[in-house]
Amino acid sequence: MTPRERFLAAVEFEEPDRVPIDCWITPQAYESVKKYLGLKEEENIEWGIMYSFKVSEAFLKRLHIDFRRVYAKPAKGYPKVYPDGTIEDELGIRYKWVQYYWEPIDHPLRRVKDVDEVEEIPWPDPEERPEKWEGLEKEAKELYEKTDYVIVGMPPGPWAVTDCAHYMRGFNNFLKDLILNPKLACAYMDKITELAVKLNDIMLDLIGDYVQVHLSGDDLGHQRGLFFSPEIYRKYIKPRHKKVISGIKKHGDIKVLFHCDGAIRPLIKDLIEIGVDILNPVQPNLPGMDPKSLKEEFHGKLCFHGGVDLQNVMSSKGTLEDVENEVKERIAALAPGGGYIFSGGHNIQPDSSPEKILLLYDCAVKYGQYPIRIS
Amino acid sequence: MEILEELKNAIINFEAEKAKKIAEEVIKKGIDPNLAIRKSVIEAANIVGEKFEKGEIFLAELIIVGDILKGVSNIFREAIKQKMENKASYLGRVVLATVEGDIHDIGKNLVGAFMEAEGFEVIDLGADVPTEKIIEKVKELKPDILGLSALLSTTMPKQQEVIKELEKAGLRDTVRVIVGGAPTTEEWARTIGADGWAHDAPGAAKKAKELLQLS
Repeated sequence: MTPRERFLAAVEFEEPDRVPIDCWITPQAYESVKKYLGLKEEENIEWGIMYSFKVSEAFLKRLHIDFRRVYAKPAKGYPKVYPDGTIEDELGIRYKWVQYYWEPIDHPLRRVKDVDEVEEIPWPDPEERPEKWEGLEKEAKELYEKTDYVIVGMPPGPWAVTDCAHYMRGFNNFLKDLILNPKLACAYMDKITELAVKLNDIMLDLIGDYVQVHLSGDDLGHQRGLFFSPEIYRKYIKPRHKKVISGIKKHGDIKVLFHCDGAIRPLIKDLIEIGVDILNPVQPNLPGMDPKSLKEEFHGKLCFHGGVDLQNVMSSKGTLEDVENEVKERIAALAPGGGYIFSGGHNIQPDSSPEKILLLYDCAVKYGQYPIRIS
Repeated sequence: MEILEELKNAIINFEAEKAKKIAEEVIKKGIDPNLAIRKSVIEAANIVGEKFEKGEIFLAELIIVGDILKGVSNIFREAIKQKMENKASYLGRVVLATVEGDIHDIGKNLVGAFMEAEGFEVIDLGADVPTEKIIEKVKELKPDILGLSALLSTTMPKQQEVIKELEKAGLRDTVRVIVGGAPTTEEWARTIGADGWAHDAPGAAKKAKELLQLS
């Protein structure tokens, strides 16, 4: 089977030849694998999740990755770089580099007090930046026609609504607004929703015929539960998520891969209802997120992407033996009957050794052959 | 006392302004602020902690209550300071920090608010705090409890580093160390030789009391 056929079978809950394999990884972990393998090939494939970086085709092949991605180009002049090394993106969010991440340190909506002020900040106009789409259609068409990979559209703006909302407003402020000033929260969430839908529209008008998957997502939970009550989610956020997701789906038979960290079991039914096809990352050790029970309840309705424990097994705590056992356990739980794409339960972090990362992916091929036979 | 009951209810109903007003009224009326803390702030913190543990309220509500608890306990602490000019009314001194390389402080700030509500004196060193600075502050401030937070699996090893450095500096026996943060576990706390671990802010305040044999 080709990677694309493999994915299309899996996502329709049929068993392909083996579990499809994807990779979300931090640039630091990628660099360590590259160095370990001595890869010298040209790095010309954008592979960023949190921020932009490039990998080589040789790397993706070595890890048996069935997916390739299409990204919009950065807007001219962005990110703005300040003399102190901090940067600012198109939305006016300021970031500082701390250890491994660009962490948001200032927020354009931080001081906003009422609904009218929301309009006053300089929201970007998606129509104004043609450079973002340059060459995109050709790139996607070529990937579609000349390769067999699954093609994933990476959203050119907010992935969905709430992550952007707290980046723009500040995390605590956003959560407080949802309870103490929902009108204000809804005002800026509306602007963000509108922006996300418009940007996806422009992008998918160009490449909608070539992508099989488009990414969306918001983190709705933490290590032990939800950021807010399911009632708040259903009242204020779910309708906006629905707009973003149906906005993607009106461009054709495109599966929505929705990223959502945390212990989010109480919201999974809602996500299915509004059209989410594939859920990433499935952090397996969190309350309610046990892959076995998720599979039991949602097989046939939701495809899982991820499931590998990064906080223990892939961190410095885990051994090579732990890695092999982890792959066996997750594949045994999630792969039977299709509906599973193998990947880390988040971005593979800098504390995962290259030996472990390679073993993880080689084990995925070894144990991911259908029919699944893991004792 | 009715007014303290009213204050407690304002806190657990997220009424920040009302809670502040009642707290000021309590002081004006000459009610003992130590009693007020026990009967309103600590009780409210316990109720909210339980509700969070049971999944009846969520992080958003906890953040709101954390702010209110901080505001109200500051009002009472100020009053105690002015009246008695002593610090003996604290249960103990807590130094908090998010370890080096980690800028995340939501969990750590909540721990601070709940510890204060329970009656500890909290000195918060902030986020991304270098190990040497933490050691220096333990030497200088002689806290009863040191709370170390880490959100990332990549920064978690810094908790271990701090404990090792405390040992090297001969300070390990002077302070109880509590660790916390998303990737941490009770087992991790044991492995690195911490004295305690908690998975949320109300739990951390409880653990601190337990370690000092106050509960």
